[in-house]
Amino acid sequence: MNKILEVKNLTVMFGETYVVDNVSFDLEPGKVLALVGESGSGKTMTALAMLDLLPRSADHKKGEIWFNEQNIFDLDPECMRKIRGNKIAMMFQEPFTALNPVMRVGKQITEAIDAHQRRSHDEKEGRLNELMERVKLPRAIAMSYPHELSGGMRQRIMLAMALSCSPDILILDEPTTALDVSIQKHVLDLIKQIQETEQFAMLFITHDFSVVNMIADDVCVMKEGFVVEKGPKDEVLKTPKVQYTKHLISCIPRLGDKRGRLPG
Amino acid sequence: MNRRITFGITIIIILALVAIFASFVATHDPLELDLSLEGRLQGPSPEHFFGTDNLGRDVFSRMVYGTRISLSVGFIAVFISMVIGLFLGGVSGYFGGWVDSLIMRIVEVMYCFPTFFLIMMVITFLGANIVNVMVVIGLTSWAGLCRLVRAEFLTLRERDFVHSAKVQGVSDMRIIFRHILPNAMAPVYVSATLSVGGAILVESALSFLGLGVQVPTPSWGNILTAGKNYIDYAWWLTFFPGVAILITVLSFNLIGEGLREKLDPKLSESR
Ligand SMILES: Nc1ncnc2c1ncn2[C@@H]1O[C@H](COP(=O)(O)OP(=O)(O)OP(=O)(O)O)[C@@H](O)[C@H]1O
Ligand SMILES: [Mg+2]
Repeated sequence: MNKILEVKNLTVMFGETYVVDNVSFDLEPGKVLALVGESGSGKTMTALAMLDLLPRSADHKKGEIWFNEQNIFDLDPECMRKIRGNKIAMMFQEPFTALNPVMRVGKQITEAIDAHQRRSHDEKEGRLNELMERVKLPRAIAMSYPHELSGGMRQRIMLAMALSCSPDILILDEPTTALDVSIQKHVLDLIKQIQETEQFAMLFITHDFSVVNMIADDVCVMKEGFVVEKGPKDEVLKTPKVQYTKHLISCIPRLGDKRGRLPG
Repeated sequence: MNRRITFGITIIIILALVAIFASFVATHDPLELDLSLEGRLQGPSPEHFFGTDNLGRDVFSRMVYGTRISLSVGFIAVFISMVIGLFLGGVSGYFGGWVDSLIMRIVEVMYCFPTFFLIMMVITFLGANIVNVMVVIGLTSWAGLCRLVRAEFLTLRERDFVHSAKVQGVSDMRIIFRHILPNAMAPVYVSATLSVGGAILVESALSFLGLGVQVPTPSWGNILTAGKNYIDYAWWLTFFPGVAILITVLSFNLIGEGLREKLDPKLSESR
């Protein structure tokens, strides 16, 4: 098995509370690992730890995260910055707040390129065209400001941002939760399709097993900071070992009764 | 557009044009003396719109040239204080920790000194001339702006788009200046506009006390100084420069207040 990233016994504490407790998992190139759990189970904190971007108040962290034969926690800030957005990219949950309101979205897509590569204006324009095409948005949209776009469009912009430097690993934190169900499906299909062509490793965070079913190869179930179950998708979905997983699977919403937010 | 802003901007544009084209607007050479008895302290007339001073110089022309001083001091001083205030406030609010504590202690020290006396002291030390006046006003008036920017940064740095930029590997300085600062500019514009008026007042006061622009170069403040000895029978010497200062400062304040009103509802809406 060739691992691209290895999380070993990760523990994160806010003061005395454990929010991530002894979590271990691996990511493999070309594979999708879904990290599933209820709200507050520590999924986002696990993902932020992988970028060494835990909130300041997370005062204790233990464990190791190995990437490219280096432990991420041992890297100096500048080395870590060069990994973020370049080797390991992340896309956030909230399409309504994760974009800078006063910067054109095209400019925001190329921010990571500016941060990591020396590219001429023309090369960047070329890459921007490619990315807009990849996320199936018209090129002209790149000139818009975020408030002019719908939730689904912003989500695609954020996806283009994350893909801009062709990362080895893409982390998606509930990328579709805030979207309307039908738009959710489109964005998921798009993500799946891009992952299949580019073959990066993906960590997909969600609390929704129907999404897991669509997109994942492996599943890692978290509860209150612990990993309670881990394995190939089909195995976990068909024969869940713990009660908590069974409960989550039984919560799969039927189409139509999901908490829906109208696209902006 | 807001009526106060329109009014303020109109006045400022007129003053700016007067300053730029001073040599065309002025009816006389501002330095030309006329020490004859009839020439001195003449009241306003078609020949001398604002009369003449104790040395027989045309007050209108002196004031036209004085506009240059007032506006350039106002703008340059505020520019200097903005650069310092934005940088220190941004760094302080973004990084927090000991950097923040250090900068905030400096700000408190600045607040403890009565600014005007500090400026007077420094000018006495460095010598009174217009460049020193601009620089010293700029160097001593950034504390309020610094606090304001810091407060903006404290809330903005927790916003998702800032995290999103960090996740992209964007460097701290770029996050501060390209992502957060443009979102923090609205209150900065308001505060800067109001400070221009303040800086013009300080310059006039310094010149009035002989610590600013040195005679014979005309400035509104030093025309006032010359006028104070003759206030009983040559009212025009103090009246016109006084009104000019009043109108200018008022215009900047109107723009500032108007901007505040215009920008604030939008601010609360986007938060
Ligand atoms: N800045 C913080 N200070 C203290 N506790 C925090 C902080 N951020 C998160 N937590 C706590 O850490 C725990 C894990 O949070 P995390 O955001 O990882 O959950 P999550 O699984 O991503 O949930 P969700 O599905 O709601 O996004 C939660 O109980 C939360 O209350
Ligand atoms: Mg989360």
